[in-house]
Amino acid sequence: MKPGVYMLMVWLALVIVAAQFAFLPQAATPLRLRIPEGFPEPVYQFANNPLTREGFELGRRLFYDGQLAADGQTACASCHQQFAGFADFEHVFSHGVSNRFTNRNAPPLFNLAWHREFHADGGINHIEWQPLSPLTGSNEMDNSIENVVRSLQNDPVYPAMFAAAFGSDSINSQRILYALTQFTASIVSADTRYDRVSLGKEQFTEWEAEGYRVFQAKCASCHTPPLFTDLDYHNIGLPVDSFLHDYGRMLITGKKEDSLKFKTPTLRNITRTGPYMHDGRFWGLSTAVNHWETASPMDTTASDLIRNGTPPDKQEIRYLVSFLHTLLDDVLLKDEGLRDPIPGNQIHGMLPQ
Amino acid sequence: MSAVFFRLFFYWLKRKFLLPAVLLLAVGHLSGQDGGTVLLSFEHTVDGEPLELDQSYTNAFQESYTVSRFRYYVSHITVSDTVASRPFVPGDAYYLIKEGEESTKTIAFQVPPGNYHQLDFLLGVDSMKNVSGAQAGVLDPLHGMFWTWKTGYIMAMLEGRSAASPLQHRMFEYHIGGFGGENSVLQTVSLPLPYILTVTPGSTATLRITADINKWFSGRHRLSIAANPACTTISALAKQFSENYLAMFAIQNLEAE
Repeated sequence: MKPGVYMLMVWLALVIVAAQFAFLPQAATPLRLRIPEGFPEPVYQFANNPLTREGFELGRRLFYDGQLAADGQTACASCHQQFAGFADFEHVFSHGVSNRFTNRNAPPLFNLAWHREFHADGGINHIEWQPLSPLTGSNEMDNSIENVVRSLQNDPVYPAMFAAAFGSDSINSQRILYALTQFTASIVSADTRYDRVSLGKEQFTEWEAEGYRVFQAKCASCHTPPLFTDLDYHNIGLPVDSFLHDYGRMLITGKKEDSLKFKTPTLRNITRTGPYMHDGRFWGLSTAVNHWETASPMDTTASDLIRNGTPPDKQEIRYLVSFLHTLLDDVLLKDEGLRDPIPGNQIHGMLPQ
Repeated sequence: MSAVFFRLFFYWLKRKFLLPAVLLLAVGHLSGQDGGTVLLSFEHTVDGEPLELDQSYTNAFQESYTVSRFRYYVSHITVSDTVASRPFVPGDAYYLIKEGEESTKTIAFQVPPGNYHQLDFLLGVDSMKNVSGAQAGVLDPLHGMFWTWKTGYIMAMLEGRSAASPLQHRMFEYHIGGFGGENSVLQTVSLPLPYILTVTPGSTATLRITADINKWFSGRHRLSIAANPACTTISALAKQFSENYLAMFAIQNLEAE
């Protein structure tokens, strides 16, 4: 082969390589889930859904977008507000579309990557499936997957965001759920005063320290740190609501022994997530802490701790409430990276920022 | 600088030649000279008559009814060779058969040459896929075969109307699901072939499989519309329906070319 031809081929090859490089889709920027010191390994490992900056930002926008609901104005964030630890601030039940109400109190959303199951009855077995319930629930966002997909396809912003996150602009429920999961699973609460005390950076006041002592003796077996929930289901003796007839975990397992069991709620950010219990029946922390008071003496299926344990006395309750205030995560509640990214967004349930 | 070029060059080489070559080889291995094609053609019937949506039929309880929706998942297909010790699994695809959508009612796959005597498939979606998070394709929940309040796929669905039903609109509605525990409805349908299917390189064979709707009500357990107009939860009743639909399927004939 002549040297000239050889050089020509080399140049051609280089041009082809350069062209390939120019048209390569820009790969999304990998992110890592923050695993705070002292936390266990998360349950959700992003195995099929690699966490990226672009996927997270897409999920964040979807979370704040009223387009996902049938009325165009009810977003995930309508009932999961950042300043309330992503619970629904001071709402017993949340407002779905058309003035409908949910049947349970909206849970706060953080540290979800450590949860195996979702809902107060644990009916959802995977974080990625979770959003389908509010999206399609007739008393929540009342939409269909077809509608959501169509509306996002016709949006001026989303196709490019899906392309940036997933390599192509095709939109389906799997990608929507992946993106929402990237956002919700990334919300981590580990920057409370309690956490700073644990790390030796701050010290409890006398009352907080007393409260912590009572907490360890009487609460921590179910509200286990660092998540402040054992992620399990317990019947704490609350009488069944005669209107809701909500029997909790039994609805999922069909087992009698699971009657009136509900998933242990986390105590992190508890000062912002009231009213309390699965149906929001208690207003005020001291009332909630004193849930022994209302436990039905007839209920022999309530957990042993409730039936045979010693309820905290009045002073202990005051101490406990003092301790519970140390579980407020100001860093999370004010994290700008979790805020509404849509300029001029008009959705239900938001307070102006 | 040159290192970067080399890396890019190899990346390009990999993308342009290596991967396609490997893929071609793999596909060629499956579909080319060495294997044959098997087509499963699902036909829905009522006592031997072809099922037409919204036409009236009569079940073993003399209840007349119409069907508006009939759908089910098929997965984990295996074909068993008369001599090979292990059944052949042609891929890990999931299929959603929908009455009224002809294209969904034929499944094609490749099998290596051999003499086959049995076909098995899972009626439904295996437990693993029920606990593994968001899925796409026929497993996308937009197909209406998914429970959002208690995670899990509806494995089979039959809906319609009957004068025998005590429900509103005289409707009946069966959403059969449950992937674990004693009331799991996951059933493997095992169908012996009417004669030995010899697959040779490039051959095509069609297995006509019928599903008789009347067996839904009385295949093994007697479940009248009047007594059981609805089943939409994981339950012993759902399990009974799943044992009935096991009896629905039969291979009518086998056409080999």
